[in-house]
Amino acid sequence: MASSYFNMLREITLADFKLRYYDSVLGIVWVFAKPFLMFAVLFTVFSFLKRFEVANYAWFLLLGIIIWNFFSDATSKSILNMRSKSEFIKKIAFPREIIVYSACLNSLITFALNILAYVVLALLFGGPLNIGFLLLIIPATQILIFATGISFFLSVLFVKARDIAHIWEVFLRAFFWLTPIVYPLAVIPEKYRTLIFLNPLVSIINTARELALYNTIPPLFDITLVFGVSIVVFVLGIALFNRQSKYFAEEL
Amino acid sequence: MPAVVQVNNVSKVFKLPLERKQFFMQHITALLHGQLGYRKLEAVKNVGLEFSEGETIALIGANGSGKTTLLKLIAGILVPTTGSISVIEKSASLFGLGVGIQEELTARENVFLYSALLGFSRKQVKEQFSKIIEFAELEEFVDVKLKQFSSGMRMRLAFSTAIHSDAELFLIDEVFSVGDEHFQKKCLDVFKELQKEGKTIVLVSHNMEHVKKFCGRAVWIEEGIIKRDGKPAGIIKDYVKQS
Repeated sequence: MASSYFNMLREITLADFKLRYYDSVLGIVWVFAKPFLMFAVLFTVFSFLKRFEVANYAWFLLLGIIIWNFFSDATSKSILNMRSKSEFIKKIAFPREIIVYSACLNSLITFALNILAYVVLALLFGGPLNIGFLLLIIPATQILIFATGISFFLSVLFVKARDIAHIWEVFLRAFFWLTPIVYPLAVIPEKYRTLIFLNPLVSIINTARELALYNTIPPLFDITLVFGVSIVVFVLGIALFNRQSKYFAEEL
Repeated sequence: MPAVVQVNNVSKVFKLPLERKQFFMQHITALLHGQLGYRKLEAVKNVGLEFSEGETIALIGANGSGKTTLLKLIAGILVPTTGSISVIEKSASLFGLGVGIQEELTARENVFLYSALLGFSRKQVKEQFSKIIEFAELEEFVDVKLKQFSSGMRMRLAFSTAIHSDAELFLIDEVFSVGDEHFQKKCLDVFKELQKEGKTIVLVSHNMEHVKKFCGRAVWIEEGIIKRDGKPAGIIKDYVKQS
């Protein structure tokens, strides 16, 4: 039973990966295009027009974008998958959550390739690569759990109201600027600091930077807390999804 | 003979939105006006059925009588509003033409994807792959994208994939509506083989000739209720007379 479950997951993920890059001329290059183009633009703007006092700003920015991109890609792809896989849902009885898992797995692969590209660039241009970099696995796991949980909520909402796709797009754009990705935490006035940490992504990106760029380990309490929050979001998300997914075939 | 499928007092009510509310504003305005916003349609009404191992059952009835809904309930795609269904064997289902097929992928990729979703391992599919393609008569088109396929070719591919699975129960909706005479004959042959192997087959069909020739039992459904259940010959005669 478990093997057929993983086989479904693998086949859907594989098919999606192929579909994404099949007819494109550049193919796999597009995996890197989004974060790196974003980086190129933002880096140009924020190293000429406005500067932040951040050590290793280029790597600070690139790492932030790659992690953000994982979150934004996984969640929007989960919504997209509910639409593109609606025929499967209506015609075959299989565990519905596989659709969300495959979207997130797909983004995880993209994320891993992006991190690999980051390492290659760091080696070429002498970016900071400390032992702490290996501990990136911690924030990566946090964001994977968190993004999957959010994706479950979004998928259920999408089946009820299609405009979630648009709302989420706007939401992501807003939160890109409300999360310290382009700018450092220090820019935010003291009184708003606690408020901004309500967004788990802030802590996740911060942890990643502390580890990879500055070789410091953030307080264990923070890491545990974000793990806790992510797991709660995930558990609530899948519980809601499993309750609602029975009706997907008639609602889609 | 043990019961493979047991349907106990099953009803299925669909909520049909009067005006499809897919957007938030529509939900909000409907709420403000205190409208229900949908009407209820009972597609299957208090149905009780039992299928035994090795039976071949045809579900017959007019369009909109609830045949496909019943089949989807058995397949587990829909959940009953009241009542319960138990299916003890592994099933493979085939609904209509599209069969969740991906246009942009090749025939080969679609076979792997579809079989995976039906719950079969990669190893099983690999073993069966050449048979699936051979039966569908698509040897020359294995690596052609599905969007280039005619509807007949798609149906053949989907049908062939489904019947080559190692399921014990086959739930098949309207296969005879496509495919030429030649392929229809092949389908009947393969059904006979499945029958010999003791597999249970439930199919929805409008082709009374096939039902008569091939099914041991016919269930006539009208407006969500089982009108008749038994030997096909008599039931078909009355059914044809009525319509």
